[in-house]
Amino acid sequence: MHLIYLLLSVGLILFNITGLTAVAVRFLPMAASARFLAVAGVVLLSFAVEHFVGFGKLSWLWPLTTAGAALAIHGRRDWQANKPFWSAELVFALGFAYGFAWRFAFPDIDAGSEHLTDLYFISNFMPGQTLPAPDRWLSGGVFDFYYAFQHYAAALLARLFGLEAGLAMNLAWALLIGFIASLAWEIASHFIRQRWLRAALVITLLLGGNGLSPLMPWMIEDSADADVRVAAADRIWESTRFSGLYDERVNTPFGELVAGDPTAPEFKQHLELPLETIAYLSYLGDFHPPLGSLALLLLTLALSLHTARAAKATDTERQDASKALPGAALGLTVPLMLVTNTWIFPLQFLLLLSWLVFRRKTLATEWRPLLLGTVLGFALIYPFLSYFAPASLATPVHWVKAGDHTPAVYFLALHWPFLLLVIAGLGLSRREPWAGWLALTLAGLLLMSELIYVDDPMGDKYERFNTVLKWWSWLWPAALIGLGSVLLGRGGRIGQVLGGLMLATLLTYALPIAAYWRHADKPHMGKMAGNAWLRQDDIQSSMLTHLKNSPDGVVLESVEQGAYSASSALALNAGKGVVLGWADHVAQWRGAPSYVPLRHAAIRAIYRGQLPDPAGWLNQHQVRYVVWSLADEQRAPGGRQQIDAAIGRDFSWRSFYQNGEQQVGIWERRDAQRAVTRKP
Amino acid sequence: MNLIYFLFTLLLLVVNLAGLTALLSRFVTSFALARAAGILLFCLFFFFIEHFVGLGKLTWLWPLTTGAATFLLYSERQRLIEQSFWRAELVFLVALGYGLAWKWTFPVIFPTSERVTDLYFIGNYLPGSQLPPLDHWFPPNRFDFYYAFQHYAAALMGRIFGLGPGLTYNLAFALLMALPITLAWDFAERFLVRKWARWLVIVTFVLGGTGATPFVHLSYVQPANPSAEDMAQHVNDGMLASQRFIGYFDQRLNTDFGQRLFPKMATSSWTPRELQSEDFGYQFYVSDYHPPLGGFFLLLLAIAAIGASEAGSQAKSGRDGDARVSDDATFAPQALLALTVPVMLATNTWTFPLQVALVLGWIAWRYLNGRPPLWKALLLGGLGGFLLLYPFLSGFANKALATPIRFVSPEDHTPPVQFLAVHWPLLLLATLGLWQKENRRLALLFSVVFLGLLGISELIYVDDPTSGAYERANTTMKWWGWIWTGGSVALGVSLLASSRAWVRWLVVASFMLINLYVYDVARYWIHSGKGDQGKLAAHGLYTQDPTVRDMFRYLDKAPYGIVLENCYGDAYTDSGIYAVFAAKPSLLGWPSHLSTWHSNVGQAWMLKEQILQFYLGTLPNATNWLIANKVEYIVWNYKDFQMQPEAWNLANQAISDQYAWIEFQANPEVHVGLWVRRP
Repeated sequence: MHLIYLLLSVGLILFNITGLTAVAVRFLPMAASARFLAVAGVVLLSFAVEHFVGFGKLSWLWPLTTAGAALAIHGRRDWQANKPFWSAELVFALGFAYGFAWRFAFPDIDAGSEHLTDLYFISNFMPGQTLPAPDRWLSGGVFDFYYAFQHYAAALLARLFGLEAGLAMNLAWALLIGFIASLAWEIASHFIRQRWLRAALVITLLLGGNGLSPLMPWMIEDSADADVRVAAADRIWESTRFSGLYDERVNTPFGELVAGDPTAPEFKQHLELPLETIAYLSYLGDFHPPLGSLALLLLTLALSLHTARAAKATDTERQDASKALPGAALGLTVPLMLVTNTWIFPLQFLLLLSWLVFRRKTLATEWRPLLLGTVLGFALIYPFLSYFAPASLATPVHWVKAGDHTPAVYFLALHWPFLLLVIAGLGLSRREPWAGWLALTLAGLLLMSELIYVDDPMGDKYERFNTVLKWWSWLWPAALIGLGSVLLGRGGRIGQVLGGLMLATLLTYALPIAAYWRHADKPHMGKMAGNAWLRQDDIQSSMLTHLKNSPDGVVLESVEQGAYSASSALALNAGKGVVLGWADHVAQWRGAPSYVPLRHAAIRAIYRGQLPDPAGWLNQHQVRYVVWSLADEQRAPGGRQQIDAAIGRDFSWRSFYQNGEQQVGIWERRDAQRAVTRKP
Repeated sequence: MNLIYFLFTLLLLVVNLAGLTALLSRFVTSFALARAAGILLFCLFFFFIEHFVGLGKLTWLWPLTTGAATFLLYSERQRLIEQSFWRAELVFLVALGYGLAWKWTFPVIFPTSERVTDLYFIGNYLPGSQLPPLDHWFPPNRFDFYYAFQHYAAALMGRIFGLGPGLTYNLAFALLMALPITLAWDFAERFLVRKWARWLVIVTFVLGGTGATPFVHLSYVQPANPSAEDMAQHVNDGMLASQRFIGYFDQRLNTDFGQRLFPKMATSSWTPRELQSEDFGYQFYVSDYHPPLGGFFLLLLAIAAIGASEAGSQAKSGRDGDARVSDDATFAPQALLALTVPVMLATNTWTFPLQVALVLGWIAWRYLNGRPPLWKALLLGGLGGFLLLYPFLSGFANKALATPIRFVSPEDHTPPVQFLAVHWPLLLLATLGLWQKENRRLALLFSVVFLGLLGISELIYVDDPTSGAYERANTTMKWWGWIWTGGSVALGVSLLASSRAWVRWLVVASFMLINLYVYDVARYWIHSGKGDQGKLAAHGLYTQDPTVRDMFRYLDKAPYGIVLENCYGDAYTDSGIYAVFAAKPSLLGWPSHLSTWHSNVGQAWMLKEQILQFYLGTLPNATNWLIANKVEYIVWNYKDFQMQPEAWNLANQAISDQYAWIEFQANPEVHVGLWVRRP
């Protein structure tokens, strides 16, 4: 039953996107770019308007958009005559299917990594109020401090098709993979004629590791008695988080040659300098900004390529017409990057700047659409910026200190494929000036990442962590797809052999990924709403259903840990906000204001029956539901009775489980309770 | 007065349906199919729309639709007369009349089988709120876990004509049972020239038993000179003996022949498995407006659509130039055939896989015949249906009970003799069908599908929460009933159309044996009590008491709000009867049903305990509890008063500042009435 629904939902979404693409390719004859641009454009427009007026529920819209899509597709129903369009659709569908398979097997949106954070971001946008939306992790607050455009898009998907937020998150994740794969394919198609070779490149993007991945088995040997699952997960982590974390586990002569002997007293702890690939992000399962920024990066490359190669066309009139939209779209990527992944904004800006330099000879005909796109984009995100800019954290840029540079050996071991591709790009620049531009720009940006960093609140070992995590992880796919395509397609036999060898070594990362797939438990396979881990407990499931069907209102859940706990999962899945979500996150985003720890402490005190006037506190925060879980009961036996005595005047208790004195349930504010059933 | 109102309602309904049929007959060549398609599409459309916006009261609609229907019938009278529309209407009226006769005679709804449950399903949809509606048995949750499309359809009719819940139920029952009969007639008419043969199929379909019927009559003797009470028991036994034969009635046979053929099977470690087969005709007796009804409707719709596709193309075949014309004629039936698949999901999920098998079987059969189906029609019907149901599925898919399919374990298999005793007619018909050559081997299709499904039903089953003797009961009840009903009509017609006389007579003879059940039906009619005859509002059993009648009326007219009633047990009790006849939410429905639907519902059981305490007058903080649970009305009936006479005072003292007492009888020593929440 659920599968039928899932299939229908996916079919409906893909059908709508295909319809949108069918319209968009009329203006931009590159299917993957047109598709992604059209989707991003629709979302951006809606994002802008909803800062003035929230659209509320939108599920009435899909029958209309589907009818529109049917009309658009009708014109292309003869697939023989529209082969390029439908083969591009097939590539997108395959990419989506790959992403879908990941989320289908591992759908849980739980306390692990940033799963719940992403659900919270999406959840904020679900009711469709005027933006900035009320903050569901801090009652009374406003969600205006995060670049959550990608999450807004997922929420829009949910609102359009009446999906649960969790399901929308998992499907949007798969859609992003579809966009990334199809854009990568489109770039590769410019240079590589053989389909299998393009496929190999795209597969390396999706499943390959970084430069360290193929070296790991020679640096860290598995212990013989390690569990297969743990071993696979370790392998996935090792190359991603080598410097400063896994380099302390090297146990071979080669490993010690690279990292030193971790058992030796003189072993120096390194800074954590990670590089995350899409394969690693797939394993992690976060619907986090890096994915969106990768799609934007590939769009930028595809558009620039289109412009560069269209220039070769002789018909100047056609040239102008076909350049206007790609040019404007290129300009649009800068503001889009700002709202999608602010960390990457400077890089995207510099990339475009260098593009202008590269195009200096034809700039006279190209600057207008480019500027128009940028200005239009900034105008559309302006309402967002007016809230975001004052609320976002100050992140000054500093020079990397002398001792904080990446050790040369580490740098080489991690970036050797990058460097190889840059050299190849420079070497082939005579044949493909575009490759020369890209190689030079990427090399410059990599160098920049070694010279400066963004000084966020993290320090010590994590001084450069966020900067390189974001920058390197973004630069690497640019090199792999942009320069890899050139090397494989234009590098002749030597280039193909060299490139092929590189892909093969990088794809060794697919082995631990495959092992993980094969051996990891998949208890909730197919339950793509992502809350099966919560619903597997009957009591929680009943409470969730009840809360979901109850009127809107602020929920209080206990907050024991600072982050990475299940706190707020119940409320978010029920489409409601909590008084306080993950306290550490909330505090960090808002520049560590004092009221967050105070609120955190008050909540801890309430759940231990130690707050002097809990009823007053609950009134002050306009709490409507107070959740008392089994964990709360076990943590503070008898606490429930104490709380009940203190707040019973205003709240009535609803029990979902009782075993002697032990009870689990929800307190619900008593006033305004009548309205629910009075009107049908 | 009641009769006049009822007859006028009926007239309105018939005129509206006739208009709808006339309209759809522009696109669908058969009137029976046009009627079925019209009703189905109308309900599907509203079902779809109301998932976005609840349309509330719809009584304003009938004057418009009736006007439109009358206009249409008048303006198209010439065409309709030429195409013998009125003959098709007559068939419909006779079929409707038969169902109405049952409901006229036995209209009452009380806690037996699932009648009250079905009334509650309908009641959820009566207020016309946005779907999924509030769950009237478990507020504030939503009613999104059950495949209740046919209940929605009934409520839609009730809302348009302004009917009460009971009348809606009874009228919808008669209507939904009439449609399959007209479809069966349509199918029979297409292939059978002889009128008696058509009638034989229809009688077997509507009044026939199962293969077990002759065995019941041969192996069970009714005791001589029974009392009226015993007789009532016997006639009931007669009705269910053929359907609940395996594991139930075969263990109660009282002749030597019967006991020799079907020996007692129970051992210390094993109880005979109850393997029921509830076919179409049996539903009149059960009288539940339950999903199998809708399932039979869709089954017959599929069979009639197949008939229309085949007969339509057959007439034109042989001449290549006409191939396109025949395609046009069969487009609508093929689209309808595909539409039955998604609709089955929302109507009777149990038989969804079977419906899929039937449609897939037909597609395969078309390919074997070298005549591929019209995929455009199939896609339009199938995908269109799924899209219309998509908003429903988004809630339903997440809430529906997980019902894994498992292999039947050795101890749960049907004993071979019993299997033969019940299924011999289908085995016989299907075997004959395998060799049938007429109508492009249409019988082969039905033989393979129905026989194949019967075989599969012996290998796998749906593992629902019941177990032990009832492990397979729900599965066989739904599947076998569907298989035999479909098999008897489809194969009966196909074989009676045979050019070989011996085949025809073999079918006639076996149908005659099965139709011994007509005797059981007649006996049931004659000997059963008919105390509530004609009271189609269905609450005659309760409202014969004037106090209860007044309370029913009060609640019916009162504003929408949660009603609290006492809990008299876990299921099949009078708990919730006041609310259900007023189409209002109960604080708590039947807990064991809630348990089945929502697996573990701890809070329902706790709520039940609190309700019991309230009715004993011992619940602490009763007012707070009532307000927390948003209770608007509290029923205190004779039974509650008698169970604990002093509890009324306790309860009244506790809640009177928030709830006003309304007394409904005159004796000052007794308190029967309602508390109503003060404004």
